[in-house]
Amino acid sequence: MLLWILFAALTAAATLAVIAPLSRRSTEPGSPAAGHDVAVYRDQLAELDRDREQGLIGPAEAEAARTEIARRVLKASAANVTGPQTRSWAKGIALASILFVPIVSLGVYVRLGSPDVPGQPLAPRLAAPADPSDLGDLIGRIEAHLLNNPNDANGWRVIAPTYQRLGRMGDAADAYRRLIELQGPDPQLQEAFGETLVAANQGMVTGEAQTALDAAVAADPDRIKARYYRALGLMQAGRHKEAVTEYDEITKRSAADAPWMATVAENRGKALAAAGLPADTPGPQPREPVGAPVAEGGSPAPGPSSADVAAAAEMSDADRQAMINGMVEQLAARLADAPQDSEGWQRLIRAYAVLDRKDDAKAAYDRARETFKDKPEVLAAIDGVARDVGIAN
Amino acid sequence: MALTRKKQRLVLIGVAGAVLASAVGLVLFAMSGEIALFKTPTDLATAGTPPGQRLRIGGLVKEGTVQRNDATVAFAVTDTVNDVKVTYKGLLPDLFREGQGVVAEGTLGADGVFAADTVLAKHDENYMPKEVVDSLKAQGVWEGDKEVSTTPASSTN
Amino acid sequence: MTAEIGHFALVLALALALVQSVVPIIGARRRDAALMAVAPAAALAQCALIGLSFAALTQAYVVSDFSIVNVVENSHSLKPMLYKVTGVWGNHEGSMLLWVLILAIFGAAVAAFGRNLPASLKANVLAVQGWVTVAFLAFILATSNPFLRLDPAPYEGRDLNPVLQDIGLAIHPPLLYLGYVGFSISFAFAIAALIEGRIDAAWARWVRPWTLAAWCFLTAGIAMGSYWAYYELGWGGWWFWDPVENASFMPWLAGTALLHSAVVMEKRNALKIWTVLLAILTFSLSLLGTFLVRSGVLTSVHAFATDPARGVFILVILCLFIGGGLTLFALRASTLTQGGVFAPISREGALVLNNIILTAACASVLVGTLYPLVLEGLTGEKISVGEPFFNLTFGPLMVPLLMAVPFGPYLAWKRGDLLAATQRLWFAFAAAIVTVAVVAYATSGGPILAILGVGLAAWLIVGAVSELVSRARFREVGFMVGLRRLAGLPRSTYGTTVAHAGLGMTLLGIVAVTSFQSETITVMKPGDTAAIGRYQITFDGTDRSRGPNYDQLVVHMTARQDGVVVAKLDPSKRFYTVRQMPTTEASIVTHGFSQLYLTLGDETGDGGIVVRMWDKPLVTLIWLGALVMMLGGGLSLSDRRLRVGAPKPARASAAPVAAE
Repeated sequence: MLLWILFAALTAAATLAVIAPLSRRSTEPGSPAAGHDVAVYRDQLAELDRDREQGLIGPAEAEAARTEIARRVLKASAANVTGPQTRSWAKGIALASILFVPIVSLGVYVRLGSPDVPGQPLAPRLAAPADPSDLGDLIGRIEAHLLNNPNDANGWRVIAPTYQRLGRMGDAADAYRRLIELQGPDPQLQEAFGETLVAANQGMVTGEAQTALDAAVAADPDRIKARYYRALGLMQAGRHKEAVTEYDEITKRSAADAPWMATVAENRGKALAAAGLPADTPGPQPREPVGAPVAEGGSPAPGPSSADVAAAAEMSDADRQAMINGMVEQLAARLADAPQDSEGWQRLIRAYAVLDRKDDAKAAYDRARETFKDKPEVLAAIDGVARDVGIAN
Repeated sequence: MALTRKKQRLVLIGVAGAVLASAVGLVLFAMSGEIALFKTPTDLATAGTPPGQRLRIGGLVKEGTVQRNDATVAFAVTDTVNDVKVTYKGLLPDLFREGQGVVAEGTLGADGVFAADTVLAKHDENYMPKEVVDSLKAQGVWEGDKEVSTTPASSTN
Repeated sequence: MTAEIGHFALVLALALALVQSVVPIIGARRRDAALMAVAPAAALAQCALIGLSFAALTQAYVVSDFSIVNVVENSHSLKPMLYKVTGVWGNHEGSMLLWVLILAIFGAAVAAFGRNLPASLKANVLAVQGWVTVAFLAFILATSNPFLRLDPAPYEGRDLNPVLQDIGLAIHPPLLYLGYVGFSISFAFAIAALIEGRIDAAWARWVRPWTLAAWCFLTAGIAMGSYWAYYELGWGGWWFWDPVENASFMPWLAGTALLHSAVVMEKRNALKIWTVLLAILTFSLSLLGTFLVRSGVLTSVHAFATDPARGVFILVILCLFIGGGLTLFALRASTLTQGGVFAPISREGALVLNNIILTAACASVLVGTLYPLVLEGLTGEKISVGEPFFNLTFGPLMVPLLMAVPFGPYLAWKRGDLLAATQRLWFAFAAAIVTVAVVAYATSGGPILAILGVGLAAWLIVGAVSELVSRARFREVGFMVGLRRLAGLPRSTYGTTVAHAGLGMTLLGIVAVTSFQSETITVMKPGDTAAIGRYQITFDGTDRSRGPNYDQLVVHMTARQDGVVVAKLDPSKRFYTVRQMPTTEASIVTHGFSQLYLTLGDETGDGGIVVRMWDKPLVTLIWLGALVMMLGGGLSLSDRRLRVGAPKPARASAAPVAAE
């Protein structure tokens, strides 16, 4: 409100600048040009004398110049008539200006300005306590911290999966790259790095991504996700037979009921076709179903990994609390609005369990069961998670 | 004996014409010999250039080719298709790095080695010599500028 | 909230500028004093509004309000306060706001101090100023708005570019803009004269001081930019004929010509049409400079963000003002009356020669700057026009002008005596000959062109000073009376002398550095000694340390001359951790007018480091000469004569006194 009062005052002042001279009942038509001219010419004559005295102009030339100037003086004097004064225009223009200035300025400002955004000087913002429910604000604080302390691995470890969850894949890839630079190679990080790179490049497995994925698999052959993206990259590179081999590797290392088995089988079929091999080329057998993901990094639905939590443990108290709460509350709020997200529920149950909030986990489990009571296959998955974290049998 | 207006004008036009003519002559003369053409390594490989002609070559500093020998530096400039060997005596710009964009100005020797007297690297991370960007785009290896992820607050309210 | 007030004030200024660009012209045509009086009121209010807007943006930088996109992208909470403030115009949006603020300040100055201008001229001038303001305010609001907001606001800004944190870079743009924009006044006066179809005698009285002021600022700005590039880029060069440098140099050349032709017009009412054309061209070149820098069409050492929408917008502004101005000129120039006649050999003639050569030189720079752009646009072929081209075209054009400079002030108005002038210049000529002989002996027959160049510089300096001395006529009137005569000379005479001597100093610096500097690049290890020019440089050792936001490698060196320690130098290489950016800090020691310049290259791995050294004789004269030129301009500007003449606010009722 204050803002608009100030705008009004400014507009009034500006409009006044236009209408004040218009409304002045001036009898003074302003000094006519000829008067100025004559004065200037007289000054030129005086200067001519000075120049002559200084020897800057010869006597004959000075005389000629004097004649030239005198002629101009006469002409200027003759022209010295004041023109007619018309006043009828003034009123119309004054009126138009009163309307014009506010209308144009408000019209343009409303299109361009953001009157609702308050000013946010940095010092008071930093002094204010962090609002744990505002994820964007938390990310902003961590980003600022990282900008000034780019070698703080903990910060990168927190922010990388957060970016990933928010879909900011390019930022996530940069964060993982930095983290790997700081910490040295680590299969889990390299896998995540490769995955985010692929996502950031619209599914293309770039050379950098391929290198990271290869390193992850070399260090830890059970990295299913890394193998999966590696197989995609092989397909994109036209190395179909190698892709088939990779899919076979995945199958060998997965449980038969692992959620990705269907996709793997389908992709393997495509790879076989592309490689010109018969569709029924025998592959290896998966492992016995165990009802839980094989490896944490292999889970297709990422929850706050233990690495995240470890990172959070090394952060300051407020930051840690803020980060965890922020992520979990955000997820819970989203599920309250849009409950038809079975993976979301599984992640939430896991998160509560990791935070040791068994009651919340149980409540979430119950709500999820209620939501998906008509879908037995989803229920099975949710039950699996619940069993996994120990809130159901 | 001041001149008449007509004569005054004639003299003026004469002097102005003479100065302009010499300016034009100088410009034309300088243009024939003192202008550096911009070439990519592929241009040099496919079309011959007269040795001694001033050239600017642009591309990426090829990885693993930078060799320092006292104050002289040798490296290869590549547009990913062809390479040109460059020698340069002087200080490389702070942002000169392998794999980064570079422009070198100098002359091509008879042995195919480019003797540079000026080497420019990208000025900061948002800036790369324009010719380099253009020629890399033409080769399809330009990856585009980093996107700025901040966006202005909605300007529609 | 402050940001929004600034934004609104800017929009309001646009509305006022629109009124200012229309109403006073109607008033001038209708001879309506009230309508004409709108112009100064609107100009003053507009200046206040744009000032408010600029203050709001500055405040946002000072308190690091990261809800403003411009602040996020160009500031950082850890920046020193000085660079937070200078960062306001260290980026595209802010610098355009500064541009328009300076434009408004000049407009307000015309409004406030233009009391003794004829009312209709004043109204028309301010209306034309209004057009320029409208164009640039629209440009800012449409394509380069510094007040766009960001919500949620980040906690940190992006820019902490160490290269740009430099006091030289902070002062250089405002000075340049004061120059560029100052020429808009001359332009506005020229267009106003064409609109009215007559040039008042007061015209030149007004145009000259404004041109002079703009020229002084531009001179300082160019010199500052040149010195910044010299010490910050570490290349040891002081002028690169870079398109961005040319962009500021062309208005300077045209402005210098305008300055001189305005003298003829002011004193002798001659060269009216030419002066009007020059005023239009000078500002056009300023606009062209703004376009070249701001649109990003150039390959250049100056890095600015490029944005085609901006380029097209400025191109349209450029075409409108240059095309419109020249069309108006073509239509109306014939209505302007002829001035006085003069012989070819006369003060006027000398000034015309100055104008012709400066214009031709300016045109050759223009060709060299634009030719690559045009060629690329037409054929796609890329070329680069660099130093060799400009040395070959600009140099030969300037030599006859520099030789002619000392003659000018000796020639009388209307008809001069070249022989008499030559006789009175014998001393300067002798001084030049002696200088040539001495330099040739000292350098044991160095490059002939360089020796002649030093002689030319001596000719300029001694010639300028001797004119002053000969005015005093010591020989005829005795020493004391001579001194009194000297003191009684108008300041503009001193201004001429000082400016011409400054030109000589700059030339001396240029010739000395170009021809007599020594340069060495070598790998040095602790304990090594290398010779450069008159010095022996010993590598004492290195030292790694941490600065506030960088790691650095400092190399300690000692410069000795014949075994005597003359200076300690410590060039360094810094690595800024936040930006992951290396920089090199050159070490420069000044001795007299000469400098010893050391900078570092890469480490060789075995403890050695590449060192580049220059001994640059008289190098500081290049910039000192420019400052002296500026001082000359200032002296001229302070001349009382430029302020008297036009009447005290004359009343219409008081009929002017008839001439005698």
